[in-house]
Amino acid sequence: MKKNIPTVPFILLIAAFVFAASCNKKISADLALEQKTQQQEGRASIHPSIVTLDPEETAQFKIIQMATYLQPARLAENVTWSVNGIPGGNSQIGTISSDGLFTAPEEIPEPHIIHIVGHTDEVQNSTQVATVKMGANRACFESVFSYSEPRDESEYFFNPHGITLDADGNIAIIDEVTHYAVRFSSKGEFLGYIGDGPGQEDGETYRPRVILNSPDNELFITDQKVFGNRIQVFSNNGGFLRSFGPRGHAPGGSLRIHGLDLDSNGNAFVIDSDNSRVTGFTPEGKYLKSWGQDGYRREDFNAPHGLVIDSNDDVFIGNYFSGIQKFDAEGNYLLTFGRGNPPDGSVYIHAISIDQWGNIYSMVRGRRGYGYVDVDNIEMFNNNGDFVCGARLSEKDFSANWAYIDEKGYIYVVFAGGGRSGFEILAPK
Amino acid sequence: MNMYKEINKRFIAFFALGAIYLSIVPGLSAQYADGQAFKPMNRGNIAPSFVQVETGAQQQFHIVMEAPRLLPAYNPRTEDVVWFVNGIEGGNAEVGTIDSDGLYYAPHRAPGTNLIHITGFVEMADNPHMIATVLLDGIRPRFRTVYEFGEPKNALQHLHGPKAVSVEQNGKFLIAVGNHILRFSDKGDFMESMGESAFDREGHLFGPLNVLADESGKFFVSDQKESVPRIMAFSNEGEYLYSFGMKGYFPGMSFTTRGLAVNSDDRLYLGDLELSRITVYDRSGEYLFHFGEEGAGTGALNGYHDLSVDKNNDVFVANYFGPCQKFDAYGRYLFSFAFPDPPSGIIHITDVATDSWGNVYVAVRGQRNHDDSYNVVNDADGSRVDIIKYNNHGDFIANIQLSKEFRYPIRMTVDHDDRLVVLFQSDDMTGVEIIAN
Repeated sequence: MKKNIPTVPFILLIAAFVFAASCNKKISADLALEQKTQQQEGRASIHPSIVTLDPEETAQFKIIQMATYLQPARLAENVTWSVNGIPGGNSQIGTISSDGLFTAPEEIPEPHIIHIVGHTDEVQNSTQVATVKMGANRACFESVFSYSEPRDESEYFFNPHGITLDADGNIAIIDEVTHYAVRFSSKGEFLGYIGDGPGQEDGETYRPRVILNSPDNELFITDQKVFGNRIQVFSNNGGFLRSFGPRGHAPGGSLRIHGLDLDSNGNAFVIDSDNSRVTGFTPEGKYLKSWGQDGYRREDFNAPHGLVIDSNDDVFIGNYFSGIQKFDAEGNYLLTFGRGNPPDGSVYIHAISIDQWGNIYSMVRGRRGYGYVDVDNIEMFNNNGDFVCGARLSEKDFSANWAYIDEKGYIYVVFAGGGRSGFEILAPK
Repeated sequence: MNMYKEINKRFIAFFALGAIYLSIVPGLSAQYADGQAFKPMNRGNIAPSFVQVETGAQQQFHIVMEAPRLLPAYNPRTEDVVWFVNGIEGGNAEVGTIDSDGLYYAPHRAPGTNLIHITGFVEMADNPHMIATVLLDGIRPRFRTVYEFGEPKNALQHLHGPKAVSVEQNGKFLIAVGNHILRFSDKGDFMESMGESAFDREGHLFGPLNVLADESGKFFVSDQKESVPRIMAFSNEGEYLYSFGMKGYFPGMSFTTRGLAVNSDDRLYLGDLELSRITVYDRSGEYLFHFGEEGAGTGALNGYHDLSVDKNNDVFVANYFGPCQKFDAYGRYLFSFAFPDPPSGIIHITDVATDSWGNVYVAVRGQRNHDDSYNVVNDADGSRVDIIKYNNHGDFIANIQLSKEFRYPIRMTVDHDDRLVVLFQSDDMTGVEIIAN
């Protein structure tokens, strides 16, 4: 005989379950708020962020500790100021007092873009950089070397996609069509391969898109093998060391990595264009975390194509269609800049790069897209998203794919267009 | 044994239902009641949004639609944009003309004001009125108090601790004071008191915090009642019509309200100081959704203090600890402006109002002192700043002073002539200043 199950205890059980679920949601929400509040606390900004000065003019800079949750903004104390990395500056590039008063030099220096750095340990983003442009309407860069080969005849170059400098100052380039990772001298002399050439095995490269030289002088290359890991690490002499980051949709997996950078702890972060998310790995290559998604909110991605990390561990994401976003190290959205500006401005962002001052270089294309370069090839923004200046390659048909910026501010660019492919070096002026 | 099987079945069903509950309910809570939460944004911008133009010179404007998903930003077709100068289609000789491609020809002499509004109207956009600011010859507008009315502190008759001000279609002022709503003529003469009561019940005012006159003549009041709905609608004559929005923390409820606005879709936006959120109702009082999240991060509300809605239905939010934020009608964050600027600039933002051009007025204060006084906000020249005017894109337009020192804006609104109406308080007077360019 079938026994009736007592109904009241059962209902109570369901009620308890629902209550527990609700509590859990409330606790989760509280934790999220607490976490968000903590994460957002202690950020700072520099004012003014960008200024144009004539010789001997002055500008007062200050670091503002932004308002924290229910606490007002205030001036940061104990700020150390430097000009282009020189504490207090000097007569060639201008001087800055301990109170942040910058006095421009008597003559316009070369390069004429000067970086004012305020450092304070009181905040999450401890290094703040402002831009001083000396003199109005001056070009910022000029081409000093260009090397290219006919696309149809070149063994290595068809669509060179990524570029970096290795430990010896040589130029390392990967090409997403020929699959090669190669090295050239700065004079255009071919120096050899990195890894074992095109292929699907570890140590070989297939549709490589990013190359990065780490502080330990290991070369990271991301590629798109049919199977296998997406990130390979090579020694400076080109020998395969290890790989990590499996192919796939699941957390930790990647499909098409189009940007890679390392944070201050050596963790590797990649942007995956196809999964539309950021994925982080420990220095050992273990999955750390991921964040970001497709969507229509300001913090969502729209075909993300670039990722760089500045010295504060803030993360910049370049979206092919909708500008550059800045996030903090935890993925909290901060701001967007460099949005499309048709009909005369840039519309597409193919990749982004960063220099030691946190300036962001955006490899852009006009509204007619690839192969129709009717805007600057590269747009330079400062760390706060202010437009600094544009730069063009030596030939109007060349379209910049990627750039590496060295410590002196030289831009090393890989390009394709006009039936040729190669690299070019732009010097700051 | 059968009993255990039955228990197992029930537990399986129970956990299945639980799983469905946990997977669906959070999803439902993330979308809005009208189901448009996931509607893609279809917004545009006008470029440049702020520009200085010499008299007699030209300036090209473009409308740029933001990049849709997996598509680039684009310019709408010429025939999809209608251009206006100061609200006149194509403009005229006095304010300048603009052609169908957005090329603006500035007048050879500045009209009464050097501030010109260029509008690109794009019907298909979520924000159809895209308005840029032209400063002719770079001269920033100056503001002055056109007239004021009020009562001295030592002889207060009506204005005992006013909380809010609104302007009716006919220019009369409604002011929330004590436990009633006062009506003043457009010249500032006291006319009548409405809703006065000591009862905490529907239709009676107990402690009105907000008043909003709508274009039909009726007005909404949000109150501090304990046990009955807190938002009430009254006829123009002050006759109680209906109420909604209970006290509480749950969706659709409110606690300490501040900021009340109606948009062109008949949605009513009500802000809450304590809950740091904005609740949206339809005009009849049906709860639709809410948005806003406490915090100091981008898009979070850091001491929510007031709101205002522009003609695109975008929502501007003042945070006491800054900055001012712009959200779309669904509460999706757009951008921030009016950032704190210590030591002598903005520290606190106490109120926000918008005019018909989408310009945003932000009431500002400096550092709060131990005696609850506030330091004065100063501009670069050391002049006092009580209110800052920005355009719809957050570009700085001008600083504004009240007519006398030591007056603080309590609440602001904009009248139907686009004049700024400031309910103020000082040590010796409470009143209203009407400020114009």
